[in-house]
Amino acid sequence: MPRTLRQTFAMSRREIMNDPQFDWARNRPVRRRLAAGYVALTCAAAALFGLGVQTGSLWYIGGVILLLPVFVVLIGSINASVRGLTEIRTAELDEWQIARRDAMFRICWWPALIILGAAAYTGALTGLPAGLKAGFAFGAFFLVLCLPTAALAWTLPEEPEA
Amino acid sequence: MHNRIALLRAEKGVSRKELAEAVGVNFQTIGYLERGDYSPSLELALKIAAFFGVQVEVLFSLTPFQPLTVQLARSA
Repeated sequence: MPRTLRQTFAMSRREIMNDPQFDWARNRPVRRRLAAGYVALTCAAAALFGLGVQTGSLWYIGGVILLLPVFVVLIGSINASVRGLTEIRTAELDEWQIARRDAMFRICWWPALIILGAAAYTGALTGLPAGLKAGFAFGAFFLVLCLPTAALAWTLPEEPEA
Repeated sequence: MHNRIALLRAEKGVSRKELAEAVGVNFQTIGYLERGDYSPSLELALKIAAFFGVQVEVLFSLTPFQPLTVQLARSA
C-alpha cells in the first residue's frame, strides 16, 4: 500500500534514502544516466539563464523556472540512488559509506574549486557579454552543488544482493 | 585483504542482511567485503569474527586462502 505524504514526512532521512521504492535507481546504468542527465540539465538551464540575461526576455527565465521541478526530482533521484551518502548524518552511516563519501569529497574538492574559480574569473576579470558570464556562473554553481553526489552515482560499484 | 565471510555465511545459512544487522552495518557493506572491494576496520573484523564464533585470522588473511578442496584433500 503506498504511503501517505504524512507518513513520508515522519520518516527519517536515512529511511527515505534507503527506501526500496528507489531500487530502480540503484544500479550502475541508471545511476550513470541520472548523473549525466543532471549535467545535461544544468548546461541547458545555464544556457537558458544566460540567454535570458543577455536578451532580457522573460521567456528564457520562464524556461529555467519550468526546469526547476525537474531539477528537484533529478537531485532527489540521484541522492536516493546513492542511498543519501552525501546528505545523511555521519552517525547514521556505516564505515564503508563514510569511507566512500569522504573519498569522493576529497576527489571533488579541487575540480569544484577550479570550476568556481573559473566562473569567478570569467565574471569579474573578463570582458565577455553579461549573458555568458551569468550562464557560466549559474552552471558552475549548480554543477558544484551536486558534484560529489553525481560523481558517487557515476563511480559506485553495483550493489550486492541482500 | 582476503576473507571467508561468504563461506562462513553460507555454512551458517545467514543472509547478508542478517549478518549486517548483527554487526551494525548495511548489507551492501557485507557484500563489498565479500567481493574484496573493501577492507574492514579492526572493530568490524572483530565483530564479524565474533558473530561466527571464530578467531579473526580464520576469517581474514593478507594472503589468499587455500581452496576448500585442497584443504580437504590434505586432511584426508
